[in-house]
Amino acid sequence: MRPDQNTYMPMNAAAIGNGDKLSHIRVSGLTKRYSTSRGEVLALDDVSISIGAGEKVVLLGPSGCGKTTLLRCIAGLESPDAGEIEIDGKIVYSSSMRIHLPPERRGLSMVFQSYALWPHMTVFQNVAYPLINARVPKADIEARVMAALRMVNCDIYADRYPSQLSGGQQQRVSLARAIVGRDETVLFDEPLSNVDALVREQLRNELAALQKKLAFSTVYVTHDQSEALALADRIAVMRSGRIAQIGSVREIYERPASRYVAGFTGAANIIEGRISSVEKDVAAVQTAIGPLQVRPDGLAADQAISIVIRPEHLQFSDARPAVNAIRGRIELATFLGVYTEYILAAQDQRLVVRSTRPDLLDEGSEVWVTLDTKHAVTFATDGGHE
Amino acid sequence: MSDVAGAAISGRALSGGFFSLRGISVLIAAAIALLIVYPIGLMVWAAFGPGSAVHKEGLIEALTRANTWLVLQNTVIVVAASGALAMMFGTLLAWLNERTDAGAGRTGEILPLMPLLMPQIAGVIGWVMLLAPRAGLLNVGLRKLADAFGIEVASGPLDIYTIYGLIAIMALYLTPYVYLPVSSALKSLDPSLEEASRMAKADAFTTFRRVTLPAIRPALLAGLLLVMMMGFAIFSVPVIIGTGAKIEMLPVLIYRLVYAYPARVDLAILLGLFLTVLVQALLLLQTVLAPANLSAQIGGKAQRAARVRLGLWRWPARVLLLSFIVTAGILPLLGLAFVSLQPFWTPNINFAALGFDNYRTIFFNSSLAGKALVNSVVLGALGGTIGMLIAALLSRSAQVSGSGLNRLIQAVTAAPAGVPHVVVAVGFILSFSSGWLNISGTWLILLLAYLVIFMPQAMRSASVAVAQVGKELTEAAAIFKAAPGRAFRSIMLPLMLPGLAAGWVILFVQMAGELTASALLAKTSNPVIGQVLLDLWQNGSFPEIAALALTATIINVIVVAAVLAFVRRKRGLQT
Repeated sequence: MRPDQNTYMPMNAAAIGNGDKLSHIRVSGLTKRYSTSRGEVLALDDVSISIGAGEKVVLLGPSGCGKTTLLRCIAGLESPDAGEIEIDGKIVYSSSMRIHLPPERRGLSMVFQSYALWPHMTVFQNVAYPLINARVPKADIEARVMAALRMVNCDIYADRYPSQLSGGQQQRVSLARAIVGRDETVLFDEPLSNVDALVREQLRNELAALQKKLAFSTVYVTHDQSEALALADRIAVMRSGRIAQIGSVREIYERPASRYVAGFTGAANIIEGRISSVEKDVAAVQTAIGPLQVRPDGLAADQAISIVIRPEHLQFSDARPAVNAIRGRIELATFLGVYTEYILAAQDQRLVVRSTRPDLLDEGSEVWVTLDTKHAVTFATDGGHE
Repeated sequence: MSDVAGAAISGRALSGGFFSLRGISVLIAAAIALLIVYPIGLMVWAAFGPGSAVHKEGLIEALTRANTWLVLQNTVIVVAASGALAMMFGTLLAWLNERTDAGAGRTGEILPLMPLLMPQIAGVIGWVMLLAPRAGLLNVGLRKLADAFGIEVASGPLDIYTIYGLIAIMALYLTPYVYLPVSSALKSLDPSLEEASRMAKADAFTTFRRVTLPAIRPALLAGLLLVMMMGFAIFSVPVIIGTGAKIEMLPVLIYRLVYAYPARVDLAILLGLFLTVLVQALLLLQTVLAPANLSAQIGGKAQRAARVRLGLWRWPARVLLLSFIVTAGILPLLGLAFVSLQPFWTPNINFAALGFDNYRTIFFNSSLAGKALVNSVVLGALGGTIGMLIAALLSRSAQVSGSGLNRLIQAVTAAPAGVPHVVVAVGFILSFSSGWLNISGTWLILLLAYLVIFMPQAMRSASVAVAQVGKELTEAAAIFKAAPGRAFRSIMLPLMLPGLAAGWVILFVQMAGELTASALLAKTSNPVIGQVLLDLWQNGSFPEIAALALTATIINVIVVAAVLAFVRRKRGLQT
């Protein structure tokens, strides 16, 4: 992805690779190859990223994008082929200097997808394990373990075995184990994907509160965009071993740098068109569903573009709107509680509209929809974006 | 993604901390390799090297002796027939137990263990005591029954000393080698495949034929090759029943050549090498045809299958399952028990003469039997412990290290599976009977031979135990600052313990009851149960044999029960 192809500059210079003293974890030029039966796979392709002290960065992407590999390389569970990783001013991996510290000497902790609680130890013994390894004086261990367990509301389970706890409770204990050592970095490998939906939301909020209180740096891997939006200071959207875009949560959501990022950070409608004219405040676009107006930044006349608009940024209109009027027929209306989702057919284009208006529109009825120019994001179509 | 990542803790990632583990592993693998390569190499040298005992004439003699061809023919016929029977029964029993409502309680756990509970030669002798044409207890019973109907029979009606008896008893001992892979494949086979077939209007039998069998084909193939390998190597059945039926088989011929007068070690070596090549070819076939990693499926958690309802067939099926347990374990045990109480083995049972004199004889009067019991138990315990420790270490280091060392360990530890026990013994005789390596007639030569022979078995158990410990559990140990040595001690070892203990049991019973190698390596200075039983058999002291065999079985049962109870308690804690 090259920034010059985008309507909006997605990456400000301060966001990545600044290497200043504030950055707590610095990854540069990290490359990792796997040889599989079908040839070589580039799991990480020259990835660089900086994470500040106390910052929460979420690595977001579909399975196979390299996010887990990046996390495991930082953890020391996997060995990259090239690049450098620095944690808290200490180089823990460097291909040029031939440094590779094992996980136990990197001063970080981790919450695993499968909880990874040791079944032969009680909850107390599980949480005490990092302290024993760090040679914390015996006298302090009990107080610290119980304090950590209290923070996740699991102190009453101290004497139980993990198999006697529910999935949510096990993940809480695993969280307690990750914070008890007071490491400045905690890594999360899809920690909520194994717990059921209700508990997931609750755990997510507790996790956010805990992070705020203890202020450790967080690298969090997930493929769930709502989890990413809820937990991140910054989101790095990954694709095929590279970072497609990194930025604040709002940046990523409102100004995705590519159709891929837009698609991965929430549902998005994509409308193809060609610029007919560019003026000072507005550019006119000819599309199959009629003339539309978008912001003119970086666009030139006669350019083929894609317009990305989120479902909640399309509005129904009782009368024909003055600009950006789209006429369509409601094919499907699905009541989803907070909002109603409509599938609209406009010519050959399908549009998804989310509306919070209380009255339900009938399937089969013809309606007017308009899009909000300031929320419409555009990409040059011939630039190889998807 | 995570699959790719799974293969990825490369040697480099952990090499620093695991350097010692690596070093030790390489050393042990080298020692095992030496214990195989040196004796076999010496055999090849003796057979084909310059100035060898076997000249061209010897080779020609070995190939042209009518006896050799007859023995080969016998061996192939018996292995093929008993193998086919074992395939059928093993698969049927596994399916009945795993997938139908005939399976009940612990049957599935006990069934494959049954033939292991008593030393194999003891079981075979037990069967002879039941089915010998004249004095066999079952025959006596059947004749009594016939007599009641006015039919007079002098001997029989059943005769174990026939090719049918030989094939039947062989099949009995080969069945677990089919049952184990097939039942574990069925356990890990997603039952929804079969349920989908039922929903597509196929009946239970069509489903079994068209869906289940094709899905477990790798396991069937593994079972088939295992059965053939074991069939060619098995010694106790041919030496007891084959000899009585005057049907000689290859392993027995090799054994007799060593003990013949004059000894024909040269011929034994040649035939031993031939047997090895035969079994190695099967082993090679297995690695080519069967998936490399069958054991990875074991322990995979599948949801409970909806069992096929057999309806009217349920009880016959259940009887079939139970009858295997009865025939493999309980019947021969009863035969032994009965004969052991008699002053001499006779079809005319005199209840007044029953007593424990035979036990008194073996414990107090005959020092050889008593010594053999002690030796076997100590060797079994020692060999089991050393074997499992080595196997655990090697499995773990194969798991964490790069593919090079991994492949070396796999190759070295799998190799003995392709060397029949009798050949290991001949090789050991050749290697360790003279010069400064002379340890013949000591317990050490037996221990080393057992370790080599049962290393593949130990590795199978240990690699399952290692694989059962989730990858993330050991990764978590490293993340939470445990150095590799401590992680192995505090996380790996306790979690593997149930699996290792189960593996230990199998090693213990097999080593304590080992016959094939012991028959050639054990002498009066280092007697073990298997060899003493064979000697007593050849001398015809049947009641004493029965008493010794029964005692050995009781010891086995106690040890197995104790360890399995321990395993169950440990597992219960963790799940």
